[in-house]
Amino acid sequence: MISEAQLRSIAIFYFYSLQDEKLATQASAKTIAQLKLRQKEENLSNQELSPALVSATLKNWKILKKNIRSTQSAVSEEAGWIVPAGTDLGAWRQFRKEANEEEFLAVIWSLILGMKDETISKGLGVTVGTVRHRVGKGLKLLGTMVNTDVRAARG
Amino acid sequence: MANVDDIQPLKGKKRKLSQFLCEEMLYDYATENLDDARRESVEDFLKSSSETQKILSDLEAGMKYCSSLGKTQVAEPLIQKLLYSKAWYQWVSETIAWEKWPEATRWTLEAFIISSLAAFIIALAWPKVSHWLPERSKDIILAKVDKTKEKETSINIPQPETKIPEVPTVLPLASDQSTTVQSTIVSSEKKEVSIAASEASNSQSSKESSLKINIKETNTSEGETKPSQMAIATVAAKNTDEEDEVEGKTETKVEKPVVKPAPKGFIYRAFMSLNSLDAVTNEIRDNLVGLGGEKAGEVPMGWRKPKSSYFHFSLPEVNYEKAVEMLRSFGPVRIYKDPHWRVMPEGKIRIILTIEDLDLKNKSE
Repeated sequence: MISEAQLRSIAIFYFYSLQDEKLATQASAKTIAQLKLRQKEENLSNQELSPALVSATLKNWKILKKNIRSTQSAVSEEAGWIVPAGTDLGAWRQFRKEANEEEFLAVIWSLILGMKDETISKGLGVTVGTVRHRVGKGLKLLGTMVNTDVRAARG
Repeated sequence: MANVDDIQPLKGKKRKLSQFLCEEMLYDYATENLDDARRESVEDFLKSSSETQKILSDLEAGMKYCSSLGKTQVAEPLIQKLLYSKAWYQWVSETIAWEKWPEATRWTLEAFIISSLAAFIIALAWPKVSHWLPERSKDIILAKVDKTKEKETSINIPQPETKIPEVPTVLPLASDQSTTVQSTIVSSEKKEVSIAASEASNSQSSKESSLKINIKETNTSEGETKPSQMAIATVAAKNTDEEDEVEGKTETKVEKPVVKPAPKGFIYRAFMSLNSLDAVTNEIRDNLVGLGGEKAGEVPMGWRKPKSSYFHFSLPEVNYEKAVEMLRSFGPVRIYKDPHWRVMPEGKIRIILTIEDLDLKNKSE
């Protein structure tokens, strides 16, 4: 059985990666169903399920990213995701447009969902160093946009 | 870039880093994943490079931003919805509850679905597949018989001069050749009509047939016969072409004879055997042309076959005797006159002359 924490992680991943609430709900439901089936077939523990979570979210994101609408969707509590007060998602949207896909997703898994580098590397089939390199590069770009916004706000 | 796990701690002097190397290690520095020596090296470089300081600042801002995003919460209704969500196939499966059905019902339904699917696919694909199949043999109509004339149960044979074909002229023959003459004199109270039809095919021309009608009157009394009908004799066509042979005679006795329409024209068939065929052929051709002979078939007069020469020509009827006399001057000739469907114009006759190569025949013997 998938833990509630893992379930939240999946929902948050799609929320920030797709930036579309309807798509995120659909993707979350699909991923959870797949993981449930896989867990049942392979008899995986919740800990063993984490790398599978990385690979499943990556796979479904690649399929659904084509359906992302260009218009920005409003975030409301009714939708199911509650963003911390005062957090501006403008920098994040800009980061999503400009960043390399691998770096973008690595930042979500590592820094937003708080997953360990080893878990991410196992799920993606790459080395830990590669994961850290992607995260570092993505973070530099995101930081640039965040600082730009801050400077603009102070402007 | 080298794997962090493989980086060995620095020993001895601090290493002076390049900007590239320093930038690559900034994330590890920010997350405190560097050993002491490298950390000091990075710090030393940072002191001297404002650009690297800016990059570090961006890195830290990004980490702080992500940390704030990580505090995003998921509403409980959504959690519940996702927790109990099912894929569409799971929903269908649970609704149908296939596993709970009786086994016989399941097998029957499966068989029905498969057979319906197969029939549907075949019906869709049949137009494309049907032309691959071998064509069925179609009935071919070889002959049609006019049954209206079957009502005639007997044929009253008139006097010979009315419908009986003429007796052919038989000229002097070679010793090894003979004509076929058949005649019967019959008498009886009971008439039996038999129709014998023989067909001889000629490779050079269309089919020619000679109709031979024999009327027999069987005697029902005690042995006495009274001649009441004249014999009708015709000579069957004999084709001396070695490649063609008479293809069988069929005699059919029918209680209700089918009377075929009588041929309206006739043809002369002549046969000779001569030596030096090539020279003789040219001479005969020239003579026939001089008598008004013209090609009547598809091949020219004197067409050379492997073992014979073939003449199919028309001739003015008035020159018939002259032509015969001319041929006799070369050697013995046999001529038969047969009825034929092809009717020549008035005053003209049609002759097929076949001259066998005697030299070749003697050699083979």
